[in-house]
Amino acid sequence: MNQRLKLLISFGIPLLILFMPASFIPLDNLTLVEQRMIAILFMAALCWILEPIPVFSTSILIIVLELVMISDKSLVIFREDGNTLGELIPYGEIMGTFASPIIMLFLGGFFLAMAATKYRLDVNLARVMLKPFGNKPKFVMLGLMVITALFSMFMSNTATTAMMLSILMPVLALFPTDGKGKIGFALSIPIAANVGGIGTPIGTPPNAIALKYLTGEDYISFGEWMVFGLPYVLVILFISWVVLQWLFPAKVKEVDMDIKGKFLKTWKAYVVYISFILTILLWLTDFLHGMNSYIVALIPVAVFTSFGIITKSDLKNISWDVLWLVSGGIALGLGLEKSGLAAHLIDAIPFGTLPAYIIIISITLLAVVMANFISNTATANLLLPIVAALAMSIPALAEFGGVRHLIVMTALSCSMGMLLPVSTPPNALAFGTGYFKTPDMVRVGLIIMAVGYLFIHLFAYLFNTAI
Amino acid sequence: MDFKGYSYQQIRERYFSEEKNSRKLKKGEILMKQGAKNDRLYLLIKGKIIAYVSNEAGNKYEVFRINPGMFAGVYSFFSGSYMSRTTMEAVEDSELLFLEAQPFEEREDTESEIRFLLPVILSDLNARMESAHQMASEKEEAITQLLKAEKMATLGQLAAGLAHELNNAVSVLKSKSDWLARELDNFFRNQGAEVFDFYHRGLETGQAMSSREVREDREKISVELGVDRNTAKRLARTGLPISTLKEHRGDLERLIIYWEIGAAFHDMGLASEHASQVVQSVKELGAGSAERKSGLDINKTLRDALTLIQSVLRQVEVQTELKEGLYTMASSGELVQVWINLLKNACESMINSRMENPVLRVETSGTAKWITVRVIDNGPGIPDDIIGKIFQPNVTTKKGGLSFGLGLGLPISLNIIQDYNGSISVNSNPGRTEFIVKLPVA
Amino acid sequence: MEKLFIIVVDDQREVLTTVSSELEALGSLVFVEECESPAEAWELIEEIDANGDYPAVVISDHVMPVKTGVEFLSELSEDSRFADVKKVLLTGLATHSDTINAINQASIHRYVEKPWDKEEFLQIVRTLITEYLLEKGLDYQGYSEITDHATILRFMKDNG
Repeated sequence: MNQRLKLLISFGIPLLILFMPASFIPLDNLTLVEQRMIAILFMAALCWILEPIPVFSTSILIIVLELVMISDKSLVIFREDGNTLGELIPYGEIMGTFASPIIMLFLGGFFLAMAATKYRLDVNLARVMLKPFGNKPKFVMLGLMVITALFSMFMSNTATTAMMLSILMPVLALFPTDGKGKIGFALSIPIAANVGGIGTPIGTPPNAIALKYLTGEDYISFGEWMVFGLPYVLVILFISWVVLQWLFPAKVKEVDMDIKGKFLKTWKAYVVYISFILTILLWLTDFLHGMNSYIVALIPVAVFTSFGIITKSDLKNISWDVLWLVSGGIALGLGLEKSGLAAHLIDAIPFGTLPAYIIIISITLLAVVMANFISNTATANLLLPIVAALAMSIPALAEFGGVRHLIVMTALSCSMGMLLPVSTPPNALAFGTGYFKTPDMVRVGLIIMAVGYLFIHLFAYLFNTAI
Repeated sequence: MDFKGYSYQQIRERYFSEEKNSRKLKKGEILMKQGAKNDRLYLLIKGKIIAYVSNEAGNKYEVFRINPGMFAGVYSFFSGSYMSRTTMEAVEDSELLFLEAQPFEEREDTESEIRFLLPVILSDLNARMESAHQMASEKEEAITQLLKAEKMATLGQLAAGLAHELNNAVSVLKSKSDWLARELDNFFRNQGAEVFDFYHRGLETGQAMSSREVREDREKISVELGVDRNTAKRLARTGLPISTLKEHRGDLERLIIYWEIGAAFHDMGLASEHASQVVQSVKELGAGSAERKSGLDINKTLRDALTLIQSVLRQVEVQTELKEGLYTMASSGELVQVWINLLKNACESMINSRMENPVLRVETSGTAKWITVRVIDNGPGIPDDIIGKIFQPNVTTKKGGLSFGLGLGLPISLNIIQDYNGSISVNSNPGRTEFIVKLPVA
Repeated sequence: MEKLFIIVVDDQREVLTTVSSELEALGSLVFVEECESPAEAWELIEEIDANGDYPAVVISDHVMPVKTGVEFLSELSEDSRFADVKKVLLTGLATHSDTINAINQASIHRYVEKPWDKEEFLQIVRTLITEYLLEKGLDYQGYSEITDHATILRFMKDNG
C-alpha cells in the first residue's frame, strides 16, 4: 500500500466519523465529545496499524488532538453547543500523561540501562555469567539466552539484542556455512530478548501499560509481577532452547565466546553497581519501605545525574520515542474513560452475556495476532484501555481471576508477537545478520508463540487457584 | 708584525747558499724513503714533491705536498732522529737546496739559530697542515658526489630492472587486448549491424562526454526514452544522439553493453599505451645515463621528462612550444634528469604557493649552433636572497616538505650541462621565473 | 524515501567511470554521481542539499588540477552543512604530509589506495552509508540491501 493511500485511509475515515451526523453511529445518546473520541480512537488504530506516520508521532497526535478537541481548554468552537456536548476533560490530566508514573518507571529503567552500558556493566556481566556454561554449543546457547533474557528484563529488548548479537556475530562467522547451527544461535537472541521482556514491569512497554490499569485492589507491585513473570520467562526460555536445539542442532564441537573487558573499578562505576542492586532490591521490597515502584524508579535518576554518571549529553540518547509512544496509549485510555465512551460502549454491546472464557480467549488471541503485525506497544496501547473497561462490566470474569488476570494476560499476549522479522525490533536486528530466512523464524516463532500462549493460560489458571 | 726570526730570503742566503749543496730530481725519483736515514733539510726551489706513508699492506697514503719555497725533511732534521717518516717522491722535475746536519750542529750558535729558523719552519708546517685539510675536504666532497652518483646509478639500475619487468607485462597486456579487440571485432560483425555499430562507436571514441554533460543528458534521455535512471546514465555516456537512441528504442538495454565493451577496450588501449610510454621513459632514464650519443632529439628528452612527472604536472596547466629538429650530443638519461629537475622545481614552487591558474611553459628554439630550452613558470619567483646561490649545494626554496623523486638538484644539473659545454641561467620575478638552458647543436 | 547520493570526484574520466560502475553494485537505493572536478562536485552537492536530499558519501581523488582532493574535502568538513558527510580519499599518490592533512584537516573517514579491491571498497562504502543513515536518524531499515549490519548493531547497542 502506498504512502498516500495509507494517509487517506488513516485520516479520511476518522474525519468522516468526526463530521457524520451522530445518528449514523449505532450508540444511543452519543455526546459530541464521545463522537470526537471515536474519531481519535479510529485514527489511533489506523495509524498504528498502517503506520503512515511513525508510531510515536501517532501517540503525540492523540494527545494534541485530545487537547484541541475534547479538553476543557480546547478550541472555542469545540466547546459550544451545551446539550449534547458531553464531559470535557481537564487539559492538565491529558498533558499529565507525558509524565505519568508509568513513564517515570520507564525513565528510571532507561537510566539504569544507560549507566550499565556506559560503565560496561552489561558486557562484563555477560562475560562472567557466560563462563559457567562452558563451551559446548548447546550450553553456550542456553547461557546466551539466559543472559539475554535477564538483561532484557531491565534494559530495552532492542539494545540487549544489539549487544548480544555483536558479541555473537564474530563467533558465528567461524561456524561451518552449511550447518544449521548458526540459524539456531542467531534466532536464540531475539527470542530470549522478546521473552525476557515479560519478566519485569519495566521489561517491555506493554507490561508498564498494563500496570497503569492495575489500580486499587488490582494493584501489582514490581515484586509481585516478577513472582509470576520470572518463572514464566524461565519456562518459555527453556522450551525455546529445546525447540532450537531440536530444529537447528549445531555441528561444531566447541564454541568459544571471547568477550574482552574488565569490571571498571572507579568510584563512579561502584556507584553504578550499588545503585543497580539497591534499586532492584527496593523494587522487590516495597512491602517493607512503602515506596511504590514508580517512586523507586526515580531514585537512580537522581543519583546518576548528581554524580555526573549520566551527563547532559547522555540525556539526548534517551529513547523519547518509546516514552511518548506509551504516553499516547495512556492518553487514549484516559480519553476513552473520561469521555464516558468506554462505559457507553460496554453498555451498548452485550459482553456480559458472553461466557467469560470466550472473552478471554478472543482478546488474548487478538492481542497476539495484532502484535505480530504492529508494534507490541501500540497493540497494548489500543487494547488495554478497552480491555480494562470491558473487564469491569463482566462479573463472570471473577471466576477467572477478574480484571487483573485479563489485563496481565493481554499484556503478556502482546509480547508473544514475534513471528516475523517485522514483529519486533529484536527480530529485525537478528534478521539483518542474514544467518536465517523468514521461514526459519516463522517456524520457531509459531511453536514458541503457541506454547507461550498456552502457558499464559496455564499460569493464569495456576495463579488463580493459588490465590 | 714584530718579526723575530729570519725571513725566507734571509734563511735561503744564510743556510742554503752553497752551490754544491743542491740536488735535481726527475719526475718519479724518490727524495727520501720512509724509515731511511736523512740528515738533510731540503728547500724546494722548483717542482712539486709528494710525501706519503705506506702501511704494512703496502697501501700508500698521501700525507702532504711540498711546493716551491717549502722545506722537506723538517721532522728528521730537527727531531734529531735523522730518520725520514715519509717517502717523498717528485711528481714533477724538481730542484732542491739542502743543509747538512753535521756542519749545522757543529756551529757554536746552533741553539739560537734554531730559534731564528723556527717561525719559518712553523709556517711551513702550517701550510702542510692546511693543504692536508683542504685535501681532506676535497676528498669528502668527492665522496659525497660519488655516493650521490652511486645512489642515482643504483636507482637507475633499479628503475631499469623494474621497467624491463613492467615492459614485458605491459606488452603482454597490450598485445592480448589488441588481439581480443580484433577477435571481438570479427565476432560482433556477425552479430548484426546494430551490435557492431554500438561496439565500434564505443571502441572509436570511448567516453567523450564529461560528467556534467552526462548528468545533463541523462534527464533528457530518461524522459524521452522512458528508461530508468541508471540506464539513462549509461546511455548518456555513449554520447550518441537521441535520434540514434530512439531508433533502437526497446533494444537499448541489450545494445548498450556492446558500446560499453567497446569503450572498455578503448580505455584499455589508452591505458596500455600510457603505461608503455612511462616504462620507456623510465628505461631511458635508468639505462641510458652513461652513454652519450650525438643527434639526440632534445624534444624527446623533454617529452620523456614530462611523462615521468605527469602526476605532479596534473596540478598545473602545461603549455609546450617545441621546435622540431633540434639535436645535441648528450646522454638522454642525464638530460631527462635535468629537465625533471627544472620542471619539478617550477611546479612545486607554484603548487606550494597555492596560487590560482599555475601555468608551466616549456619552449625549445634553436640557431645553427645553439639550442635553447626555456622552462617558465608564473609562480611567486625565487627570493632575492637565495637566487645567487641556487646552483650551490644545499640551497632550497622548499619549506620542510618531503620531496622524493628523480631530480638531482640544480648543482648537479649545472654540472651536467656544463659538461656538455652548455649553460644554465635564470631570470626570476614574481609571476615569471625562467630557466634558460643552452646546449650546443651536435 | 530520502534520496541518498554518493559523489565520486576524479579528474580522470576512466577512473571515474570505473569507480562509479563498481558502486552501481549497491543498487538503485543510492544515486551515484560522477564529477570531474571539485568545483563541479561543489555545485552538485549544493544542488542535492537544496533539493532536501542527502550527499551521504563523497569519494575524491587527491591529485587534481586547480584543487587537490584534500583541499576539497577540507572545505567540505569546514562547511557545517556537510561536516557529517562521509569522506573518502581514493588516491595512488599522496605524500606523507598530504596524508597527515587529510586526517587532521579534512577529517576523512577512510583512506583508500589505488589500485583498490572492489569488494573491500564496496564494504567501506556500505559501512559509511550505514553510519551516515544512523547518525542522521534516517530510516535505515529501508536500506537493508546496502547497509552494514555490524555497524547497526554497534549503534543500536548504545542507542536502542
